[in-house]
Amino acid sequence: MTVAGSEVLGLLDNEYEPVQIGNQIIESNVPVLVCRSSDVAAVVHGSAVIVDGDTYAVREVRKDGTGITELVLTESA
Amino acid sequence: MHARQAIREAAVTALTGLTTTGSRVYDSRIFPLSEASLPCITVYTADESIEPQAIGGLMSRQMDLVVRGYARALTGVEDVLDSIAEDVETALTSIAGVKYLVLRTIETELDGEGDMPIAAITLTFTAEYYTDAGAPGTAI
Repeated sequence: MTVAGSEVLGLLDNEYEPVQIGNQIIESNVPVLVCRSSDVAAVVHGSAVIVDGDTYAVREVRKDGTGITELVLTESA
Repeated sequence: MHARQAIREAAVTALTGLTTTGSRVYDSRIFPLSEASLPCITVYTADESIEPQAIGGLMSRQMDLVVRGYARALTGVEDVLDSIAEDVETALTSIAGVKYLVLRTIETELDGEGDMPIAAITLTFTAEYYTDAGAPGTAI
């Protein structure tokens, strides 16, 4: 997979997380890429992520302080 | 059939086939919506106030008719909501049996928790209609 133009190792998770808006539930999944923080230190919001030919954009960077970073992704055109 | 149901079903019919939402119109939707079903519209009949009139058992009824539009888009999701609102306001100007149909409020909600922004727009109409006491199935 490629993150911000660099090849990195990571694990893509795409868990079901329904969105509640008003009193209506809408089915949804949230793609999260788990990586070593040192591999994605340069990532910023909007950085491109390509996994198996699918393109995403980083919308949230979660550094856990132990060397692991979760990149929360959104689909990208 | 209560007049509430008849009014709601008439609204669903009037809102089916609009430019933005097409046939994706749901009557009293309770279960989750799938991503593939968006953009869509849901229709509900909500709170109602009833005033007995001085004239022989006539009931004046003011009911909230709630139309919610949902959209999912990478960009411009609020534009889609506004298109839904334009479609709904244009299509829902009158309903058989309803004396006055007035749009009262529009509210929007945006959510960025999913893999793509999802948003909702709620149009609340007041539908005023009359029935005879003991005959709620016939709007007069």
